[in-house]
Amino acid sequence: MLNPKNWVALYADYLLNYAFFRVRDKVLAEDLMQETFISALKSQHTYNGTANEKTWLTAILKNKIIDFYRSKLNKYSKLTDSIDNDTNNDFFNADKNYHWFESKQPHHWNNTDRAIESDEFNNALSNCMQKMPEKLATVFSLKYIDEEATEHICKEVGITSSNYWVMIHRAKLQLRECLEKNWFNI
Amino acid sequence: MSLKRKIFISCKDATLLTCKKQENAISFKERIQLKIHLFICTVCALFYKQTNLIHEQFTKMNNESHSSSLHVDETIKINLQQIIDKEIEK
Repeated sequence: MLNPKNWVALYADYLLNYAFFRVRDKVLAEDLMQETFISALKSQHTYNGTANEKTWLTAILKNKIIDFYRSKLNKYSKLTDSIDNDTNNDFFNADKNYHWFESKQPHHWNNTDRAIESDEFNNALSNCMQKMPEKLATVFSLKYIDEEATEHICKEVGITSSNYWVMIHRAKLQLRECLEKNWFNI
Repeated sequence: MSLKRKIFISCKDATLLTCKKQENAISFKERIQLKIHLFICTVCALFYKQTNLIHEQFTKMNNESHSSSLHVDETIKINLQQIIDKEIEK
């Protein structure tokens, strides 16, 4: 049973945080949260009772977030092309059998256990994600935060599976490097 | 392709295969190639270890109920409640 009268009290904060974690913009997250309630009200008849209320509302919000990503991606489609053509050569030296450039090699991380336990690590992680190009961050978030299936992401975003791997590869190279510089070895 | 090139892959390929392995999207042949590469290349082994760690962290973050560090402003809540109440009365 849906009980819209209690939605704001029960789920507003939860949905706001859910959205903020993904879009990293408070005003936008607030908008998405409010739109979720409005859409949910209007589509109450589609609720079939299999999911609980919270799960159902979260699914609506999730769709809104994906719509938002998609609209953003259309704007950046030019950027897509440049990323697709880029083969991560700035990490690996084509003249040396695609060995790491020395300046790009990973280094040992200090105090990993302690660092990982800290809440601030999550902030460092999301800061590093913000530094990624929009398109990479989007595909990466869909996979690692929304835990969407790869085929689904490719379809939603309109990329091939090999584009997908180029992007995930690149995203991880950048994210790892950023964390090393800004978190582990400072 | 020579046997040597089949067995010995570049660091660029090894890090790509690492990404594939982390999403369980690696073939048997690729798995062997990656294993051999990681055995001889400490830099890529470090990449493997560190990205696994990042991976685990994401899983952990996703499993924890989303930290409710943000709160919706009271005025927004009141407004929203009014909209919902109005809609229900319809």
